[in-house]
Amino acid sequence: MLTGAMESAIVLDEVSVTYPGGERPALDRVSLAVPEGRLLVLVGESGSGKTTTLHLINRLIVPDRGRVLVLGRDIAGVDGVALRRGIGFVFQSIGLFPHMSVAANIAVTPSLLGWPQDDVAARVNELLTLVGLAPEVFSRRSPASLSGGQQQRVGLARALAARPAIMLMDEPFGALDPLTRDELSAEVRAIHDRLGLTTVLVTHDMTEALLLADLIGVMRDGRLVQVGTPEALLARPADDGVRALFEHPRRRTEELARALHLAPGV
Amino acid sequence: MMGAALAHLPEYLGAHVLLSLSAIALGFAISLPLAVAVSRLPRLRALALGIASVIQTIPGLALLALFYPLLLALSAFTLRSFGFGFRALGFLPALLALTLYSILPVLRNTLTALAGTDPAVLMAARAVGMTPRQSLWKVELPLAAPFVMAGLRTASVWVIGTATLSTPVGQTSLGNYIFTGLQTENWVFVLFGCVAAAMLSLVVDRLLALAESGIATGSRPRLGAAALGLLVVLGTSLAPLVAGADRPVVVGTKSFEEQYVLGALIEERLQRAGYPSERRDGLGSTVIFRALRAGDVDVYVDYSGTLWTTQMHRSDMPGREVVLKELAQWLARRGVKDLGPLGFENAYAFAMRADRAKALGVESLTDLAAVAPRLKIGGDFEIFSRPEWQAVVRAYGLRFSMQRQYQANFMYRALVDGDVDVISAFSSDGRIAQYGLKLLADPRHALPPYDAVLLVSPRFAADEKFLGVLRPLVGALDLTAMQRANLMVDDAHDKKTPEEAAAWLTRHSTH
Repeated sequence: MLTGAMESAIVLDEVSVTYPGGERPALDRVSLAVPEGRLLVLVGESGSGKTTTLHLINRLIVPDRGRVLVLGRDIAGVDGVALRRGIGFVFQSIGLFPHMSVAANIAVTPSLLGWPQDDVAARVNELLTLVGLAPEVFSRRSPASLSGGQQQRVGLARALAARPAIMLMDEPFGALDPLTRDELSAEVRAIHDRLGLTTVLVTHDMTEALLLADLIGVMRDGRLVQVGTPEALLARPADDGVRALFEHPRRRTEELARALHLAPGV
Repeated sequence: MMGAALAHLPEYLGAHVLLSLSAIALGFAISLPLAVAVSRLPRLRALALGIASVIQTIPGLALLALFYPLLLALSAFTLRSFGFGFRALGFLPALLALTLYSILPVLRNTLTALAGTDPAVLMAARAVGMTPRQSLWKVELPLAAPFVMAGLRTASVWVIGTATLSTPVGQTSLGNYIFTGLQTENWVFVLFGCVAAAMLSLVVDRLLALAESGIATGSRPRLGAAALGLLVVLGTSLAPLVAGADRPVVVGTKSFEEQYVLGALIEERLQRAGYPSERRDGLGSTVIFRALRAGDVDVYVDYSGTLWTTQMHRSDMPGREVVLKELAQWLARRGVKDLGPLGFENAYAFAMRADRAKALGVESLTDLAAVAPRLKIGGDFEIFSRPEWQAVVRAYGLRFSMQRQYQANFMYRALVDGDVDVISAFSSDGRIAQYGLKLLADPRHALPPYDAVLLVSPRFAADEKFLGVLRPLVGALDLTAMQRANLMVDDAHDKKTPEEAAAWLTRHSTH
């Protein structure tokens, strides 16, 4: 097992959340540990609690019950603003600040932290290069002038700017075309490894989950049904639901192989 | 005519710009923080928007008029409690009313923009570690800025237009052209005032539009050009105001031709004697007397019968001499100096077309009462709510089939054209002779005498040098001279300005 001996960067301990006016809890006694340096992918249907789980980790949401530990500290006593400046966050709608240049967007968190101007500028260039955008071409552009894929690269750079140890990603590739999506997800995995990050990524694309994850967590109706390596979940699904979830990409792959085989000239 | 209009432009434009700018700036300073403060509190937000919208529905003239009595009461209160008062007429009521007027557009636009901020951007602001305040200042307000500017533009156009209505509360503005022109049928003045106000609106609107697009596109040159343009407008229009800052003597006038002529006459004497003066034109009967007592107006001409009925609340008619004597005593007790009668009367009198009066056999108000139920009467804006009207109605049992109110010029026109059968005329009005109107006798003496009397505010009541400048006017104007002068201003064919008529009076007065 990957867990066990290793230090856990993120721990959820019997956490429950009910939204105001919600009939049943959005999260129901969820416990989860993400070891340092690992990439956990949360999968499940819409409304299963994936995003709520993510928002608990940087205190965008405060739990009704249970504890959340980040880098060994219970975050109940931590100022949410300070916490968020130390955690990278990327989400599907990207949310670049439209009135700021690409460089200013990336510089936001370091500036809030009071980094010296020169360090901020150097960091912006370094990050643009890291996400594959030439600084001299892109730093002064406005977000509106970028393609969707370029915008999400800037979003990724902005999240990485203040050298966070933890990255939270909520369907980061959901709005991108398939080619860009594959390219960017491979780069995210590479960056994760290179920078030694601990990442929690939410998706409902099972193929993506299988390709990226060190660990996969399956959520349903506000509960964490099963956590484990992709191999473990494939081999020993906790119930029929989990089995069906993993059957799907396998069946699609087989169908695809058959289809391509039958196609003339291939 | 055009020359006379242009001569006033520096003064009127300067005052107009200063007033509008102050109101827009003050309104902005209130509405933007208010919008920010209530933007996250749905109930207060609805309340603030509701109040601002209601204010917007109050007609501009009424809003301006309401502030005068309000400030007068407030000034009396501060004088009693803290030993200082302030001028309730002129700049202050106009400023406050226009400020209220300017709040809604900025408030509504800012609130709409803040409520419409892209949720993804708001989420990003939180996620990168901004505090709510940082999110507001670094993200939400900059994104709302173009909408705020658009609101400011709307507010500016409203305020610059509505500021023309501040003339009747004693604030000089481009409205002086319009109100003076309306009273004296000087359509060049009316048109000039409208065009000047519209041009000012247009220029400011274009400059703010430039600033708006500068903000929206982040273009520094555009912002700079807009700021420069606004500075030029401000500088050129305000320069004449900075030149003379000494508190001048304020000459007040009511809203009809004779008063403008007399105002010009008084002002001319004062300026010849070296007193800088300014005018508060077109004030209502009650407003102007209160303004005199409060020192917002220093000198004006009123009529004995008007003060007798509306201020002293007397309904007995003891005769001309007694009225004048008791009036002077009553005024003296209130610190107002009554310099005495100018020499003519401008009485309320009821007038008919001579042919119509003859056909109906009407010579007096007694005769009129017999046929009144079949007739229509026209009056100015005041007469039907004045005690004199009640007295006449009581004395003769008058009842008409219809009552209509007119601006004085149109009232005479209506009578001549046969739209109404009787009007409430003024005995010194030149048009009575011009149209050959029949004045109806008042055998029961229901109407008091209306000697024109020269009144001086408490500030100058004991200033012999000042009183000496005006005293030669007492007893100097007879009815024929005044009618001639009034007619000059009324005459549609050979129209003279009030200043020209006043100069003619000076040459032809009894002294």
